[in-house]
Amino acid sequence: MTLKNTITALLALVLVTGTVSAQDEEEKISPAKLMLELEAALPRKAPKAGQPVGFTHSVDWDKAIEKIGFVLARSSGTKVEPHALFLLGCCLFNSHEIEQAKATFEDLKNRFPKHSLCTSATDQRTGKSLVDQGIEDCADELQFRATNKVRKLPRPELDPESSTTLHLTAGNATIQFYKNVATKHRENFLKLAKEGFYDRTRVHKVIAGHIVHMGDPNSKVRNPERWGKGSPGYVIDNEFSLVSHKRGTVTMWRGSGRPSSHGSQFQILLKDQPHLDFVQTPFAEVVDGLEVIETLSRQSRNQYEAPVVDCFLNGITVPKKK
Amino acid sequence: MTRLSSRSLCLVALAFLVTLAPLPAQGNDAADRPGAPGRAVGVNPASRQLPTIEKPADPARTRGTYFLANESQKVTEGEFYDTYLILKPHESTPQRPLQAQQVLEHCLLFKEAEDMGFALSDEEKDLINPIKTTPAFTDAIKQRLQAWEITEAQYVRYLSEKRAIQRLKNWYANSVRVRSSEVFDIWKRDNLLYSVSYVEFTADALEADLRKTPPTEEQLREFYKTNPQIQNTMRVPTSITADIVVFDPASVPAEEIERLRGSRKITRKEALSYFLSNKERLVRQIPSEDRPKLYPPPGEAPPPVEELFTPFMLLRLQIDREMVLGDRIQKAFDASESAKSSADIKAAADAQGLEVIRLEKTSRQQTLTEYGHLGPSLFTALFNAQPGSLAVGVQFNGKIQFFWRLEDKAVSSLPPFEDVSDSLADPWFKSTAFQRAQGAAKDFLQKVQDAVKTVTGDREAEIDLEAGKKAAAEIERQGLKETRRIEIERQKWRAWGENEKRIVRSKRMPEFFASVVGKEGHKLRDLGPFSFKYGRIQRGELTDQDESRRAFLQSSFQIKALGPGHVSQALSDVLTQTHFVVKVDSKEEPPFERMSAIDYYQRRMAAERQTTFTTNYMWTGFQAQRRLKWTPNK
Repeated sequence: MTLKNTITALLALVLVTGTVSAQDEEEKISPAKLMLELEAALPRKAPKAGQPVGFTHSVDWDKAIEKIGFVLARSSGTKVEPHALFLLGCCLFNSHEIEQAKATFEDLKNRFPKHSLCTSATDQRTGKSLVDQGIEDCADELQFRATNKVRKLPRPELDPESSTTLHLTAGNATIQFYKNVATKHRENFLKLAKEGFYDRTRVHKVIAGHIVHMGDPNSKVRNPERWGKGSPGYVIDNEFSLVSHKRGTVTMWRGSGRPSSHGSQFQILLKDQPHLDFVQTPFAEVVDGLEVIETLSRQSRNQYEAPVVDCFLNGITVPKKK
Repeated sequence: MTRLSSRSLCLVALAFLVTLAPLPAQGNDAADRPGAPGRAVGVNPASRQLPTIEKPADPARTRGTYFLANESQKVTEGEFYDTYLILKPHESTPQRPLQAQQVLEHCLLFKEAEDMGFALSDEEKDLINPIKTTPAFTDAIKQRLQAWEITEAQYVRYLSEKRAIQRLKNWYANSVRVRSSEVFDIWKRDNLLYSVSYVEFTADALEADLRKTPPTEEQLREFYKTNPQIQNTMRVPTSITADIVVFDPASVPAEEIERLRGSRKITRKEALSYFLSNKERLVRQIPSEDRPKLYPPPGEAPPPVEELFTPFMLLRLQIDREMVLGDRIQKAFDASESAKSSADIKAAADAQGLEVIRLEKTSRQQTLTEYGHLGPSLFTALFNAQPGSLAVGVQFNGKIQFFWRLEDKAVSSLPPFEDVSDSLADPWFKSTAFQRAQGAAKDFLQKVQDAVKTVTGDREAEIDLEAGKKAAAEIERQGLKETRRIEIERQKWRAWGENEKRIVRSKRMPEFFASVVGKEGHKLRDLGPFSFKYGRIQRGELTDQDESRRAFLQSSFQIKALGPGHVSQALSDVLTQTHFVVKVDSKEEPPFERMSAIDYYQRRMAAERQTTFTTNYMWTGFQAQRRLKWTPNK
């Protein structure tokens, strides 16, 4: 909240005066460098073919606002200013600060009415200028929210005290659970780990540079046809959250056509896979030893997609209760 | 931070440069290479067909015009050719030479970027120019530019224009916004609230009545003859009778091995040769606990050579054991090649002290369950082999060695009626009750339709007449003479008429639905309001039959497709052996409050995917030409 307040104060200053007067000479930075800085602060890049789209829920908007606000505060009177204002408006909208977003777009339109963002650069769906479209989106959103309450999900936070080590024959990997999301998945995983359920299960599926899949009790026995089909005998309700499936995410497998999370089989991702967001439940992240998982994923596979050289999950060291 | 980003950018640009460029020492053309004096200069034969871009005779000539900020502007031939020259070294290959279309796209996109204020200033150009930012690479880059026959200014222009275009795309990517009202619109399409009343016809009630009178033999015969499901249940699966001779070297005690080894010493050379010829199989058998020895922990200093392990070292004991014992099963196999019966196999195995597994009329499922440790490929081979055949050689599954002989095979067959007649009565009761319940549902529906016809009959007759007239008019208009085509046209209008009649009937159906229910003494049940739940309920896991029936209705696509007031056809649920006739009482939009936060974010992601797709579409193919209203000069 402190960050938001800072940005709001900064924004108010820029909106009212149109300039930030209290700048020291040393702090002045060339517009060229500011533009490059603004580019680096962009929360989303235009995706190339085959690249995943950066979805709104997976972006840390507070951080983006902070970075763009920092550029904006120093860009007064330069060609960077309208661009920084526009991007700030977009970020504020996506972080649910609709009134501020609207004020930002309107300020941009009032102060730079002839800028291409307000004239020739148009929205592909409506044909209106990008800024006009921004103002309209904000107005519509405010009107909608006046009668309907949009509920927000909490930002996920890792719990550093939950470090848990997976002892694989290929090496060790340490994971940490989230504090405030997927708590049932966390409890279930730790319960099974303490019972020794996962001990001597195999890594039964790998896709090089993509995923490593394990946690099936059937994989304790050398019968690859049955691997991937076992479970602890129950399923868990999905616990979706704002956690996006990125490299290092530990996610509970769901399987096609199933409505709930699997009880025990989980995957460690080695590549951003946002298509799994709101499909599977991510419950932890690898904080150490991801290179072990990466090496493991690149082993040669048999016809069952399992590593030719067996890799066992020998055991799991769970965090001790204080 | 700025310095860092520009530095990293330069490195990326340099890497790009190095990747694309041929080495100067190699020469730029194929003809430069020794031994190829007569070859065409750097041109793929196929690419000669494609139009090439030539230097214009009149650079000031207008190539075409476009609109930007409501003003008509032009691209000259000279401007176009200059752009071609800066793009050529980076984007043209002998296999895919640069096309005029690509050059034009670049020109227009850059104009668009320039209009939005993305063109790089001189200072920005300096910041992204690796010649200035990375002096260590200056010479190397200049050599490349020389090989490409372009100047430093052209190179910097290429980098800066590409960067401006990328900015344009990035700005659009960041302007993607999804309104909550759009999210709600998407969500409510799948979450409309249905309230239904329905009559159910369960097989259970009818089955109890049916059981009072046993079925006749003719009824059972007919049932067995015509019902493919019962045939599948009764079918006898393929079974085999076979002998499998198995040897597990790990089961032999150490003393026995020492006794067999006697004074024979297996040298390292012999063992290594055995390992290399069986490497793939043996490496799989390295015990899991030994495997980490092969992979020293990453990030740590490598251990001394004498502490390193190889697979051969880890497997040495097993190799020795296999070499001492290995010929046992081979001897048994050799002796079995001339076997004529099961007894011969057993004798050959006994002579070597090996175990024989006898499979007696065993199905594929049984073999897989009981002898899975021998591997699935064994049974595939066995079930495809001819009786009397022997395995091709000794086979391995992990450490276990084995071979087999198939004695007999009985293919899948349907047993005669007499053999199974006793077990047919129960399925007959169930199947017949299910069919009769379905019949009852259809009768009920027919009664409702008959009642409706009493008020819609006149209108339906009118529709039939109208369909006939429309068909005749259309036939005349088209001047059709051929009987087949005339009949097709009539058919088309008859179908139209049937559809119209269905609409008329469905409008009046609700009025008569309730009255027929009352008249026939059925119980009318209610369900809802509920939203469509297909795929969200695992019905197999529900134990309560009533709950399962409700879940069926809540996930029925037929009900989802009905409008308010509509009556369904007879819907059959095999799982609960029930048939339903359903009337949709209401179908309403759900309130926003019913949408959970998860649903909100989930649908927002779907909407965003769609919007991003539309935005990205701007940069494909001829979109820049369409957007800027490009008109070529003729």
